[in-house]
Amino acid sequence: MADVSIVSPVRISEDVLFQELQGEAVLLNLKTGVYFGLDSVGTRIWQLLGEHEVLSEVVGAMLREYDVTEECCASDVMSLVTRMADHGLVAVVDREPK
Amino acid sequence: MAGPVTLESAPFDAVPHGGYFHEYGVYGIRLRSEFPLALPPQTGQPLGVIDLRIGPEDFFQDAVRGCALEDRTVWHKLARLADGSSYMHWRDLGEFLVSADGRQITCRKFPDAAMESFQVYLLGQALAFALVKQGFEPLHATTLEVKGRAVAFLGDSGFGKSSLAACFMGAGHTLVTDDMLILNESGDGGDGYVAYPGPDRIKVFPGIARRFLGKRATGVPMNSGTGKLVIPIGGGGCCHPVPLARIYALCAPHEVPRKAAIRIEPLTPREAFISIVANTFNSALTGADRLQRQADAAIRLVRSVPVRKLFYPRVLSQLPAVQDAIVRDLGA
Repeated sequence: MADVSIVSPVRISEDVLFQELQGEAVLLNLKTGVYFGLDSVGTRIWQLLGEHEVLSEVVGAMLREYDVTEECCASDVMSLVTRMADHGLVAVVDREPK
Repeated sequence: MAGPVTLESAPFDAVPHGGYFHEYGVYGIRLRSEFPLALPPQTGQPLGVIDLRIGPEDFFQDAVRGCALEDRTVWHKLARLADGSSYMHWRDLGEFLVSADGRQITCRKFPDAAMESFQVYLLGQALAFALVKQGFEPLHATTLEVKGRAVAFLGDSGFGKSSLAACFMGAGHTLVTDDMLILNESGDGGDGYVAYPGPDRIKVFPGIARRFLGKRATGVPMNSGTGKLVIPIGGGGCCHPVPLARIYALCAPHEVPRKAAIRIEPLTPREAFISIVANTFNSALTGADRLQRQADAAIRLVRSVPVRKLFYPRVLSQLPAVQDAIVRDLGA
């Protein structure tokens, strides 16, 4: 399991194809050929990952857009990003993607 | 020029003479073949051309020498050759080599394999490799023509596509394709697709065939690993491209209890996209370029054709009711 914290600098992997479909999205890892689906909230987190360098900034942006507690938001963001990192969709900057 | 070469009569160590005696049309593709096939002639402008040749045993031995063979299943092997060609081997059936550009398939039927079974894999798996290499995106779908429009059913092997198709055929509808679906954007200024007819046969279990196909229910076993028969339709299949109206993704059999109601539910674009890509006919060619093209094709298809999920209990006696539900949904 990837080691992700709220201060982790995270970048989107270069080998990922992103396609938005009416507010939801699919991600394709071009290296592995595996597809992932994102609901509307996951899609917004993905977009914010492309705009911010560390997860705390992503959480901050989510708190401004959604009615959610900071603890819950941080937990959900880290959980999603951890799964993404495990599948090579994102990388914590000081670690190589899988 | 020598007489026609057939798979049954040619000695398998003969060197192909390079003459194509036969031309056929299937999936909108012109096939130029050294041997006869159970296919109609090509009419109209083809989407592509593929040459079929017979190769002797040592041709394939030389081709794969030093290559790693991947066991896809217990009876199917695959190898990717350095020149970009693809080698396929099915135990007790035959072997195929698809050129890197997808314009030629060289094949060898094993002596004890039935011609009908061999053609299933030649015109299915082997042809799919060639089509993907040429830029097509074949889907694993069974497609029927209902009142002039094509209806495609997606689902893994064993989900009941062919059984449902047999039910439609028993009710008088026409099979467009049993296994592999080739679509093309209709190019008429609209945003529709047309489905191209496949081989004039269906692969289905004997009990299903007897119930819905009646006198047509005779065929040969598809392979040694399944009880399905390859049943020629005998001219009763579709012979022209058909506008695609709808795609139904079949639920897994275990998702619906035997006494559950039949349901048809729309899929979100994301769910529809996943259904489309999950039902590609060829999941072996996974280079980045192909995956990108596959995704682009799926996006365009999802934006153009409604995709719905079909939930129904896998009870044979319920299939006519499932068929009725689909016909009503098409008319809604």
